[in-house]
Formats: sequence, C-alpha cells, structure tokens
Amino acid sequence: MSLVAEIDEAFAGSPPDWLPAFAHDPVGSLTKLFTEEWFHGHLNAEDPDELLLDWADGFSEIGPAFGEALDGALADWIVMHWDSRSLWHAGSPGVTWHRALRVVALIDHKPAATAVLRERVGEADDVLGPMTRHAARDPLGWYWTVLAVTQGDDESLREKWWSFCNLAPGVAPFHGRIGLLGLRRIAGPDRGRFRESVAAGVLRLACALDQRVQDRALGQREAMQVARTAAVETRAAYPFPEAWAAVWDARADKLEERPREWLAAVFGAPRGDRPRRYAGLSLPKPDPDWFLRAGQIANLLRRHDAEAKKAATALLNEQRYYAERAGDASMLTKTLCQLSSALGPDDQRLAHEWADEAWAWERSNPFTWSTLVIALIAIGDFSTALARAAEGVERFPDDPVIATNLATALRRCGRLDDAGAVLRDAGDRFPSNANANSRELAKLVRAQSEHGVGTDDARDPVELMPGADPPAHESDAARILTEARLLLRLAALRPADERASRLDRAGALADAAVKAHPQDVEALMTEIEVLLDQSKPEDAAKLIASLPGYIAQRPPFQALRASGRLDEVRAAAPVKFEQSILIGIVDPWKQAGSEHAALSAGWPLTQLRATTAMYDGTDLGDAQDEAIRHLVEAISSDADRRAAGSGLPQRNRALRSWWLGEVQRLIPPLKATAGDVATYASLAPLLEEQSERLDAIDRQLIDAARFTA
Amino acid sequence: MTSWNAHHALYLKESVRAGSRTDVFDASAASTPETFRLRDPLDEFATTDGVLELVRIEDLGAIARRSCADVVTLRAWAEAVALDRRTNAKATAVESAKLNDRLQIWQGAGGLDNRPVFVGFWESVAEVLETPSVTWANTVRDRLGLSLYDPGSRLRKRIDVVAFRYPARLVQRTSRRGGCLLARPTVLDGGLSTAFCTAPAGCGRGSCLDLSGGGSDTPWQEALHPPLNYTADMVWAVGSITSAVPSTLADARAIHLAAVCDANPDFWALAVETDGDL
Repeated sequence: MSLVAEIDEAFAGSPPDWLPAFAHDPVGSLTKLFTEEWFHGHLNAEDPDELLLDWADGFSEIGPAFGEALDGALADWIVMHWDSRSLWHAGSPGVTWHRALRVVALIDHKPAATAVLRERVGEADDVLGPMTRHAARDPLGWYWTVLAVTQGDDESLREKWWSFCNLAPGVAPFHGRIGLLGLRRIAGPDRGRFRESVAAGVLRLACALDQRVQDRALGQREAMQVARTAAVETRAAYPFPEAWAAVWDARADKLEERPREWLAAVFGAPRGDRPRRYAGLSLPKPDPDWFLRAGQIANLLRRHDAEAKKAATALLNEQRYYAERAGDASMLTKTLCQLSSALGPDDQRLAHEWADEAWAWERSNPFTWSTLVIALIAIGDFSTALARAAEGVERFPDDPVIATNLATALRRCGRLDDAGAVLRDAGDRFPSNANANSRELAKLVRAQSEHGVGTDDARDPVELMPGADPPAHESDAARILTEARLLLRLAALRPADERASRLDRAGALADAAVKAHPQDVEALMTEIEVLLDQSKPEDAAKLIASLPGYIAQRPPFQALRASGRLDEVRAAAPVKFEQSILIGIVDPWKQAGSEHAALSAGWPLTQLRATTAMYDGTDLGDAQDEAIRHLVEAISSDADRRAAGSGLPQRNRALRSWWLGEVQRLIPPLKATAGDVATYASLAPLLEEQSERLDAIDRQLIDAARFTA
Repeated sequence: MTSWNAHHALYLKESVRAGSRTDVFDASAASTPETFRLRDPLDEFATTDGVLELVRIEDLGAIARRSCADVVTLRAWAEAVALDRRTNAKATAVESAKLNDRLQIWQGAGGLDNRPVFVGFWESVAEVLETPSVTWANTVRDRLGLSLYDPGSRLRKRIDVVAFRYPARLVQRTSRRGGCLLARPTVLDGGLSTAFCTAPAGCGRGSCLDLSGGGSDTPWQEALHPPLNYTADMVWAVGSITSAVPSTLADARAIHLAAVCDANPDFWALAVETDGDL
C-alpha cells in the first residue's frame, strides 16, 4: 500500500493536514513540525513530537509505508540540517533537534536515520553538545540514546558508556542514565541475563554524582534525583530482587555515606554482616598485586624477556575484564601506559595499540595523551602525534610533559622554529621539568644543525604534517581545525613581527573548517580567537553577535567576548572611567564564571586590567580595590584548599587553581601575606609588563574550559 | 496561520518553556516562565485559599513514554491507587510506590520542560469526578476544552488519562507569605489553541470552552500555576477518552463566548475583537 493510501485508510479520508503534507514533502514537513511552525488545528496544544510518535505507533499497526517514509525523511532531515545553519534563526535549535532525535530514538523502524547518526559520531559532541541545556532540551542525550539502543553487535562504544556513568569531565549529570542504557544494550556473552556491569554502573554513577556535589558543581537534591532515577530504572529493567540484594550487600560498604543513602532508598538497608548470594553473580574485584606485577612485567619488557609479552597480555586481560565490568579503568590505563613505554623499538606497533587503548578509556588523564603521542612518534605517524599533542596541550595547559611532547612532535614534523618556541615557553612555565626540556632541546639543536635552518612553514600547513592521508577516524575538516588551533597557539609564542602570517593562515583554515561544518563551535571559536589575536576585537564582537544564543551564551564565548572588550578599551586608552564601560567588559566574564567553575576566578583580573586603561574618578579606585580584594581572596582560598589536600580535585577546580598559580607567578605581589596587602600602585607596572602573558593564560584557561563545560 | 504559529511557538520556547521541570522555582531566573515573572496583572487567583483543590488531567500514554513504562501496567497501578484514595483504603502501598517511581522519572529524567500547568478547580470538576463514571474522561475532556486529546486524530484507540487532585496550598508562592502563583491563563501561556478564549484581565476568572457546545451556564474555571511535583497520592481517577472531539468547535466557541458575555457584559468588546467574524 502506498503512503497516501495508508494515510487515507487510517483516517477514512480525513487525516490531520500535516500527514498529506508529509506525503507530498517529507523533509520540509518535518522541519515545520519540529520547529513548531505547523499549525495542527485542534491538536495544536500538544507537543509535535508526541503527535508524530502517536502517528508512527498507529501506522505501525496498519502497514509499513508510513514507518519507512518517516525513517527515510528523518535521515534526509538530519543530513540536511547537520551541516547547515538553517535552524539557527528559526529559534531554539536545541528544542528542534531535541524533538527530532527523540522521535528517532522512540520509533521502532529507524535503520536509515540511525545510519546517518552513526556516521556523525565524531562530530555529535561539537554540534549537539552546545545546544544541550537540561533534560528538556537535550539533543545530545537523545543522540546517544539512539546509538545506545541500536548498538547491535558493536562493542566500540563501551568506553563511552562508562564515561557517562563515571561523569567524566564535560559529561552532564543527566546523561549518566544514558551510560547505563548503553551498558544494558551493548553486545556481550552475558546479554539476555542480569548484568553485573550495569549494576556496577549504577554504583559508579552515584559515586560520580557525589563527587560533583563535593566539588560544589551540583546540588545535593539534583544529584539524589539523578541517582535514584538511575537506580529505579535499572532495577526495573532487571527485575531480579535477589541479584540486586547480592550486589548491594557486597558493595554498599564501599560507598561514601551520601551515595549509600541515596541508593539505600531504592535497594533498602544492606546486610553487610550476612550478605545475600545470587547464583552466577561474580562481582569483579581489583587484584592488590596488579601494581607490583605491572612493574615487574615492565622490567621484563625492557630486558626483552621472552615471556614478558605473554605475562603482559595476561595481566591486561584481567584488568580489561575488571574495567569492562566495574567501570573503573584507572588501573588498566596505568598499566597500558606503563607497559607501552617499556616496549622496545621492535614492538612499537604494540606500544601504540596499548597507548591508544589507554587513551580511549581515559581522555581526561594527561598521562594517556602523552603516552599516545610518544607511541605515535615511535611508529612514525608524526602528523597524528602532532594533532594529539596540540589537543593535549589545549586540554592540559597545566601539564609539563604534554608541553614537551608538543615540542617533540613539532620537531619530528620538521617545524623546528616552532618547536624551539614551544620549548622556551615550557621552560619558563615549568622549571620543574627542566631535565626533559634539556633533553628535547639537545635533540632540537642537533636537528637544526643537520638541517641548517628551521623549516619554512609558510608552505601548506596540512602537507607539512607527514603521514600523508589523514587517519580514517578523523575527517579532513577536523585536521584542518587542529592545524588552525595549533597555529593560533604557536603565533602567540612568536615575536610580534612573525605572528601575522601564522594568524592569517590560522584564519584561512578556520574559515575552511567553518565552511565544512557551519555549526561546529570549535571552528567558530577558532575564528573568534584569530580575530582577537589579529587585534580586530570589533570583528570578533560582530561575529559573536551573529551567533545564536545557544553558542554565544556559552561560557568560553562569553569569556572571549570580555577579552575582546578589554582589548578595545586598551586600544583606546586612556579612557575616562565609566562604570558602564567596566560592566560591559566584566559582566560577560562574570556570566561565564557563574556557569563554569574553571572560569569563576577570572573576572577580577579582567576588571583590574581594564582599569589600567582608565583615568579619573574615585569610582576607579573602588573598582581597583574591589578587583584586588577578590583576586587575593581567590588566591588565598585556593592555597588553603590545596594545603588541606582534599584528594584529587575535580578537573575544573584544578584548572582554576592552575590559572591562579600562573597569575601569582606573573604578578607576585598578589600573593599577599598577613599585613601585606597588594596595592594598585604596586601591581600596575607588572600588569602592563606582563600583559601579553596574562592574555595568554586567560586564553589557555578559556580553551581548556571548553573540554569540561 | 503558519507564520503566526511560528512566532507564537518561538515566544513559548524562549520565554515560557526555557527551563526544566526539575528547576527549583525562582521568580528571578531567566528560564522561569514569563507568566510568573511578570505576574502583577495576573493575580486574580493569588489569594486562593490553600484548602481549595485543583485538578490536573494528564495523558497516561505520554507519562508511560517518558518514564519508559508500559501503559497497561501504569494504568493498573494508577487505578488501584485511585480506588484506594476514593475509598479511603490503604491496600496498595506497593503499587503506589511503583507508580510514584514512574511519576518521578516522567517529571525528571523524562525531559519535561517548565511550562505552566493548566488546571481546573475541584469546585467545578467535582460534579463529574466525585464519583467517576466509566465515561468521566470524555466529559471532563470536553468541559476543560482539552481538544488535543482526540483519539481518532492521533491514531489511538483511546487516550488513557489520569486526574490528579491536590490542594492549592501546594502551589508555589511569590514568597513565604506572598500570594499563590495561581494565574488566569492567557493566550501567551500555552500553544495556540482553537479551544482557548482569553478572558479579559481583571475579570477574576478563566473560563474553559466546553467542546461539546453544551452551552453550560457556568463554564468551568481554569487557572495555571508553575509545575509542581505530582505524586501517587494525588491520583484521584483514571479513565479513557474514547470519543472524538466534536467537529463543531467553531460553534462551541461562539456558544461559549455568548454564555460568558451574558454573564459579564464587559466581555463583549473582547469577544467582538477575537471572534467577531464568527
């Protein structure tokens, strides 16, 4: 039966107007439905996705035509709008995408729509992530829900699901339950039975939520709701009370008090003294000897012992088994990195394999990034090594090893001048890493003497990265963008007269990346940063103003907006003090800081720096005093927290702490001691002198913050 | 109409439904519905006695969809809980707990936004719901003007609904001792609906359009408030909407306006403005 005939039959010739329109123009009608343009007559007060889901359910009992047409239309709709800005100004694209992807997730027949979504797995976070605000505006959540329920025999997303359960940096708390859904639906020999890994996921999520509460990144009430919901849903999905009781009795006492209370409300009081059993349940435990064994095996590998690789494989398999079922990959990644580094020149492929596996598990760990870069260099894939090192430096501006890795990768790519600039910068910033820097410097000097002079990187920068073809998992656009961001960073390390050409190239590459993916926030952010570094703050402001709210209001963009306004005032200095000018500069920073913990300490420095470009008025002095007071307080409370040693800080707090440390390094008088309060007069010369470096650390903070938003 | 609807929807998305159902109500938050941020002219119901009861009708199918539950099971739990409440029995603690779990998922992880909730007063609805008959849901749908619940147009054999009944004291207040955030609905508070007639500001009432065109002398009152947490102990009745929405909506609208204008001549000017062509 044709679609038109199916519609006629279902509604006896009087269908709602949207359905014949859909038969005539499927994609256009979907756009009008999802954007809520279409007027549905007496049904109009209902949400359009609910109407469409009702129709899809109803038609499924009549025939296949509507379901197939809807699947095809959804696939075409996704393709059409993914790389276009057509929805930007239709209002709230996040709601539109939320509705569309929710429909894909909830309809039964969706092979075509699923296929196009899977093809975009590497871009989803950048395209849909910025649109996601909460559970009611959650296109990214529905995207991953579609992938979770359509995994089939594919196990490649296991690490992703665990990263959701563990609320890795950048994962929203309300996405924790999607991680559990992914673990429920993933392939494996235990599919079809009670899964201990899913039960472990519930516990991991509760612990991760508690960690967010401890870090003051999440309210207790919200955390409790998310934890309880996850537990209730998962328990209902596996209706085996005895199994849950056994898990709970065995694991409850390993939890902190708060998550134990949250989950006890669902699972009841644990019986730790007389734990209940469940046949077939074998909750994996870490082996206390793993650390020792890993060290011994690493030594054997270094000595090329014949049995070492076999022992390594056995240990890694044990740890993989544990990581996949318990969701704790910390020991696995540590061993993978340790053993990868211990392998000799003949085994560099294996070293890369292990490093890559560690990196896939823990991208929030700088150790996995540096191990991967070293392994990539060892197998001669310099271009990928450079791409990873460049991103690693952006993610971890506080990590000295990654900084040296970048210099090494640049050197191996033949970009010797840039390698030298990176090394000099790393030497200034990380004196504690002097030995590694010296070793790399020696290699660089040798390379320079062999090649005469530094490579002229005025040639095409993408070609400059040997290794010819980009790897299959990384699109050309992504690689171009990586190069653009690298050039941006390298330009900042060069003398003023050498910057322009790098920035021009970075701008051209960013333009190309935006053309390829017009909604990609990374590419847009790069364009704005290039304009700022080219001293074109007005153009940057115009570009930000042209962006839809869901991008322009994001903390990194707000902070960049503030940077641009600061640049404008400094360029016009001296400016007569006006409160409104100061507010215009500082408010976007405050807004960014209120939404992003890593940026929360940034605004006073911007305020202070803005006042250096102003004159006149008692209010100016007040503004300066206020900024100094807030900065000193932030530095002091950060020092207290570090002295208290409250364990590994959450990533955002670590970034904030690093930034405050850099500010103190550049402006020492801010580190006030008792009775010794910094004054504006004592700070002003340093603020001027360190202006470029302060710009650089602000930018590094903003760049790093985008990975943990 | 498409263009008008598009602009209206845009306003709703940005100014009325920008937050999540789980947001803690904060009148100053940017994501709080404008309905409750600029509510000075809408305070006809602010002094409503907290013991007065409100009634909210929800689609059980939608609750099931958002809470990953099976609608038949959900209905069975809700029926048991509702019967318990109406008969003052306490026999369904297990069902009540299970239903409550699902209601929490529906309102939390289920992804509801923070749009204002349209409600009726028990004072009106009691005539049908005090002792609910088999067809109560059809009657209540018509009397509350819920034209979106039309089973045929949605390809559903029936629309299972649940009625929540709860005291007005549960509705948020502007402050601890401030007025109750119960407001007269305006056209800006929900999706454009042919079954909605705005009552003039200051009239002291919101009047539901009776879809059946029955021309009842006293249309049921309606109001709206910020979303609150619905729990199993608020469930009063479960029913099924099986009848189609009458096709004479334009007539019903004219009859409704005539009835409310008769009761309050001040309405005439507004009615002529909105429906003068009918």
